Amino acid sequence: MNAFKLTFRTLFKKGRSNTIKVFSLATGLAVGLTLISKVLFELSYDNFYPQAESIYRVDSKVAWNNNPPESWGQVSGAIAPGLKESTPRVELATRYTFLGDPEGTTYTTADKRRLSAKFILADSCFYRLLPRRVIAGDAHKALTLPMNAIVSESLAKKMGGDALGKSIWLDSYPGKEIVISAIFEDMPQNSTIEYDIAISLVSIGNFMWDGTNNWLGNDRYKAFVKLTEGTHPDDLAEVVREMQIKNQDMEAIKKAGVDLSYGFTKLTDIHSRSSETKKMNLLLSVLAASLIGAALFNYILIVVSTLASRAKEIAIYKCYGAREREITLLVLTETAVHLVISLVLALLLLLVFRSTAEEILSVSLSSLVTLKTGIALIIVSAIVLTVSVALPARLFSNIPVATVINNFRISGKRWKQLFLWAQFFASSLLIIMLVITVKQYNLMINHNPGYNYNNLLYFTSASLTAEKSEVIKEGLEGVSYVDMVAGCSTLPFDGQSGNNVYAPGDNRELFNIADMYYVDHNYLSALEVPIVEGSAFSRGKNTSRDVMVSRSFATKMSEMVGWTDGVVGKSVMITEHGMCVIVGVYEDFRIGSIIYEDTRPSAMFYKESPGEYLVIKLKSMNPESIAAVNMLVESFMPEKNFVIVPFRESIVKMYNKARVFRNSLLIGGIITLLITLSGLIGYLKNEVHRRGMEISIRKISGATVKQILMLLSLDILILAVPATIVAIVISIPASGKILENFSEKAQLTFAMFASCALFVIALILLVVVINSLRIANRNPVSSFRSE
Amino acid sequence: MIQVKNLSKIFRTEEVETMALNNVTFDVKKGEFIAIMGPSGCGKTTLLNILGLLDNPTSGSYKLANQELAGLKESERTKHRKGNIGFIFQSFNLIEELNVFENVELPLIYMKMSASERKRVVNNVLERMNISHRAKHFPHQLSGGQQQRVAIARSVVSSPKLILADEPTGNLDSKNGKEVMNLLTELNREGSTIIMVTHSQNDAAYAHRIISLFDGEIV
Repeated sequence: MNAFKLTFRTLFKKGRSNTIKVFSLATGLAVGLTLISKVLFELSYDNFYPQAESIYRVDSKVAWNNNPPESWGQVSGAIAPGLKESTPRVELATRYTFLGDPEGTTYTTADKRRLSAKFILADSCFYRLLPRRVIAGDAHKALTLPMNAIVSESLAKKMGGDALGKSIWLDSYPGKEIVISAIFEDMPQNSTIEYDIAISLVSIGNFMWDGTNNWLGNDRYKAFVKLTEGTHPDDLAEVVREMQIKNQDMEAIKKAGVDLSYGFTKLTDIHSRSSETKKMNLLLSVLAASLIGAALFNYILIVVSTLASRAKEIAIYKCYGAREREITLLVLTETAVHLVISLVLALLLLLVFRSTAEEILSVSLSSLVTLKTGIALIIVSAIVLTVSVALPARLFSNIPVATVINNFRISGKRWKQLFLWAQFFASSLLIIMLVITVKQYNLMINHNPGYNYNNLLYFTSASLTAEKSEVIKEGLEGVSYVDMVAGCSTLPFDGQSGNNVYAPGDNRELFNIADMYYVDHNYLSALEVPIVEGSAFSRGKNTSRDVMVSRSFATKMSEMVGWTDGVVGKSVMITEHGMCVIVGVYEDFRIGSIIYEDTRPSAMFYKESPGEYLVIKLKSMNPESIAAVNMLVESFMPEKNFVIVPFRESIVKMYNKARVFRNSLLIGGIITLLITLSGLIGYLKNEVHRRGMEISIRKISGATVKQILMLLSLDILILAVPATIVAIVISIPASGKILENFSEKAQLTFAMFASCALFVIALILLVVVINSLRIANRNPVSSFRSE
Repeated sequence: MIQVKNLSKIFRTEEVETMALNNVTFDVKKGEFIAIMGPSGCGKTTLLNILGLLDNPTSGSYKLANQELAGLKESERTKHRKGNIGFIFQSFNLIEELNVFENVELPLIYMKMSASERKRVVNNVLERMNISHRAKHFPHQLSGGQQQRVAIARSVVSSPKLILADEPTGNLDSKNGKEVMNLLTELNREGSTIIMVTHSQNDAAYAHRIISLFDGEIV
């Protein structure tokens, strides 16, 4: 007898529930392993660079007025080369800065192709420290030459393939010709540093103020250092301090109430050790474990449930000489074949639902296929195989050989109840977590940020001249479906630069603000932000020396300088802007997102034509109005491609990670529940078979269909109710942990937890009733006959 | 060949103690055909289980070919059972997933016989049982009589010293029952020792000797 042949013969045998076992295992493995791969992917960020473990990002650490220091991953231009010069323990140092929109800036090729790419300005050491494979040209040399650039392979293809030596022009910087001198292999998806085109940093003066030699301020540069072997970042503390003393006016900094220092974050830790990644990884790991666990328990549950029906078969083997080893081998072969089929099915499921999986996880499945993923697959398969063989093999081996003659009945009830309980618990917990996540996500994308964005659209107007911008503004304001048009330098959901505030005659640096830069007279009105003191900007009346500040700005001035009689009409000194007059105070609104909220006081300055963005307020938001705006803008500038974006779209995009997590939980939760219910069906099938005689006797003794259903339901409820209660008890503190980082939290009530538990119990009951109806209605004589 | 002395078997549950066999003593010579008879619950099956090394007695001695086998561990019982004892059951106990050839082959696999040797031996037995034309069929494709012939083939394929039959005609009509009894008689004539549990006086008539049990004792 061949155990493999036997396994295949029994694959579709009635009563073995192999289809349920294999499908639930395949689904659990498909989703579970994909989630594990996603976690491994998140942990693998930036490890593709050579000697990535020796590369560190330089962080600015600033403490104001003895408050705890704040840290961010940008520094002034001179810091990176300064560190290299200060100590031989810094083997290499580089810096780069973004040019244009980090999400993509439009440019034109010589053959008039219009494309979008992520641009950076990188220094000559960039490619030595953070290299990618060079496809063509000399990347290192390109970054030393003015107005030379390197482009990614995929972008080069978009540009027509042979991009080497070709010129490009950014829309925002007309007339500035950039020559492509090298092509590099695309950045992988697990890269913190994202760019498609790197222009030499020596070209920076063509695009912005050159702060590459600045020791203080203009901290827009991302700096990285590679340390020599055996050097720990802590070893550099003294060198850093000495470099600061030599190059920065430490006395003046101290007088301003600021303590400035620099720290180092390992490149490979930037993404993987961030609190958001850690939290998401933890939750995805728990989800993956729950899914695989539920599928595994389901498998064992059904195998154990078949004990009664397979007892005689096993006893026959034993009767003719099969020992424990041979019985174990039989179970092992069966399980291994089921596992292999499940894995193949899992792969097919992933291929069929590839685009859905990629959309949910925001990463291509091919990026998830790595050596580590392969090892994880082997480990998980080995665990699944070991666990799913161990218990059934033990139970099967313990079947007394005398069962071959006697009708020995084995139920393995305690084990089955344990596995069912675990599945009910996992399903309840995931359903509760799912509801919490959905509630939080809905709150995030719908929560009032303090401005009304429902009818707002925007587009980048940086490449337009002030005159052209005015023409478009007037054109838009002239149509019936547009309420008003405003101009601004930054959008409220974007990250804002910081500047420091001083009171006249006081050299203390009071606090740092989120600088919204310039807005026109319509901006606050378009966003419906209330004015709480003074007045809004008005055309012809205000200048760029006039500033409007947030309520928290005014409060800070009241607390720190004693301006208790209000701030309107008073002057403040704001770095980068100089002395300005406060003309009004607006209500605080959210800057950034609920996850990364910029809680600093804010300020905005007047400019008739701020240049960067045009914000269009529609009378009502609908596809027709958006299309009409698009057409109108295009008619003004047919040679340029403007992308008109609804505010809502950008706000929803900010919560992409939360959406990924919600979707993962949604799929995971539903699949776990389905696996549990399929396990329950398998359990019930065997249970009604095992208890057929008992049920018949009860019916003959007068039990009604309802009483039989209650009898079977009660057996399951005894497990389901405590499982859901434990799930509620655990999910209450767990939900607090999930929501702790959000500035606005979804409201969770006991009724919500209870409703989730009741939903799971109701589903379980429904499955029990449907699957027990046949046996409850069956003629009891048929049970005696089959006995 | 078999010496059973003062053999007792007591089944205990938390509250009840049942004496299934009470000091049973008898001998069986090599080549004998014995029938064990008695009413339901008299201990026939318990005795057969012990003789077939499927269970241990509570006390007493059981010797097969001069080897004491009472009180052995399950693994040791398996070792002694393998190839030495053939079983024929009332409900045939063929494995549904295995075809006729594979069912008959089963004891030889656990005896570690080579595949070519197994094939030769199984084909011989199937020829002898007049069932070789059904070698590739599965149990559910056979009649009751054919199934029992396969079960008999399986019980004799390893040339066991002892064949134990538990009501071998219990699930058969009279024609098939007679055929099975003729087969057992033939095997016995060829030298097999057979112990058969039966309710049927007719079947018992084929045996050389009848052991009657009542309330766990030989009467």
